[in-house]
Amino acid sequence: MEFFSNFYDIVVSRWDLIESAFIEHMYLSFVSIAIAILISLPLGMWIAKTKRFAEPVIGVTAVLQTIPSLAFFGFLVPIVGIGTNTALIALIIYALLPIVRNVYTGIIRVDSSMIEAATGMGLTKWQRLRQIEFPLAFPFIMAGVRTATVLTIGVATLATFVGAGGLGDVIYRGLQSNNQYLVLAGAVPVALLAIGFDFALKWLENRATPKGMQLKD
Amino acid sequence: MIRIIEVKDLWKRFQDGTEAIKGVSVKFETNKLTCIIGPSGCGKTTLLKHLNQLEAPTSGDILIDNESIFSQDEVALRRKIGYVIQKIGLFPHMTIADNISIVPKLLKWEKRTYQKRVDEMLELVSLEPDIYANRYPLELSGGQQQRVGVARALAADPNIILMDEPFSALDPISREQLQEHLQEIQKRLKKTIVFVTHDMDEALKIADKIVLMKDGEVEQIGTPDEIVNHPANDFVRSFIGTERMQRFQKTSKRDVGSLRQWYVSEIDVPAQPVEADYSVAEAVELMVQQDVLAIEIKEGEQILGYLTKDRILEALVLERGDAS
Repeated sequence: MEFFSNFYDIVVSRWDLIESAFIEHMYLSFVSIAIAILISLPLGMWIAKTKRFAEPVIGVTAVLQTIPSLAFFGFLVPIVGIGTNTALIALIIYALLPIVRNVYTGIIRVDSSMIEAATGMGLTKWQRLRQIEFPLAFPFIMAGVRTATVLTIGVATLATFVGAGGLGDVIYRGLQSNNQYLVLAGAVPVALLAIGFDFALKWLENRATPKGMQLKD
Repeated sequence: MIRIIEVKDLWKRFQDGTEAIKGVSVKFETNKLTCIIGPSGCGKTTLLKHLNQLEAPTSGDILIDNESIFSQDEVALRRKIGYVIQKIGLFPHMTIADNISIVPKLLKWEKRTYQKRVDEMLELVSLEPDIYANRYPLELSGGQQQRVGVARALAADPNIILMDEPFSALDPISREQLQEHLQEIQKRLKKTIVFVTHDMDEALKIADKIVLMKDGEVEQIGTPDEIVNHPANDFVRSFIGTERMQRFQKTSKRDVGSLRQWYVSEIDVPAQPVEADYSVAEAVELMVQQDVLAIEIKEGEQILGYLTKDRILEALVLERGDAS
């Protein structure tokens, strides 16, 4: 019981810090995911169409993914300096791989008979992509977005090291002052945020997936 | 009004070097159903896909109403030609109504016009619009799906319909129903239909003209009668020959009297009376027409026994195994 009351006291006394860190964290995650989606969607579709570039593009994003996130933030500092932009760049690059790969897989997995029927009926390439391939790949794309989101929310705790704030601030202060309750007061919202985003996206996915495709499972 | 499709000295060599079509010239006549038939790999599907520019020829030309299709916009051309494929290719994320109205929408028909058209098309292929229009493809059986496939190809009222082995993936009963249905539709609508198949029975049943192909070349063009009675060469003869022999061997041509060992003496469902010398095919057709699940086999006034649908299927499967 003492544990909870101590934790509660910390949360109440540091509420201003936690609240602003939470908002910064949301902002960092949301903006980087949104930009990553804007980059990945056309990129994934493009490599699915021109198969020649699929391997190199996915390879590069995979290599970027393997760089330890802490080191990656460090690399960026001499190039772009410190601040929110540095954090955003790192987070966007991290989020690319799961989305690009799932857009690519989703599009190339569309049954060839769908493509043949659509082409044979006189859909242009663009109409085919928009009306047939994208909707059929949608569940895959959403799975990629969800993976990327959970990942980004976790990695965003490192933004504190480039002075971009976020819940990492709270955790870092807790570590420095050897205050486990403060560490927890930063970590718990991160977890809640990740779970919350994941639920919201799952809900969105179910809403947006046409009924006819849900029958498949 | 599109009148005639003329293929002129068409050659197709694929990038890997295979020669799929070697100098084919053929006319597909107006408002006739022409079957392209041949063993697998003979180039029949490749030939069909040239007609809506899904394939580009190495050389040669295709004229529709004396105008080369290769001078036309391929997208506009395809919207004027109905297309039905073997794997059906209905879009699972769209309702039946949406699937059928794709081309009318592309052609910018008004909403009310294409909605009415969807109902007409569903009625044409014997699917009740109120029940099926808002369902999704995966809620339908294979036979029903391909009915929708046919309805979709007819939706924008094209003069030409291309069908690539449309019924070959279906079970025998659905296949026969759809063949008969296509014949009825063709009687009413009079389209120029090019129909690819590997099944000689199917071709003999539905075709006005048959184009028989082998190894990328045309072996014979003629009406079903001409092909059967005057085969042009040994290949044609053997192609029909084996097909015909198989046909005679099929259990479905035997009379129901010969299935005596499969009779049961009592059933608890309504039964359709048939004479013992009816063929199995005729008996099954009667069952479908009368919507019953069993037949009562009679010789004169005497009742020999009963056959349920399941017993007939069992007999067909097992006795075919014995015969081969």
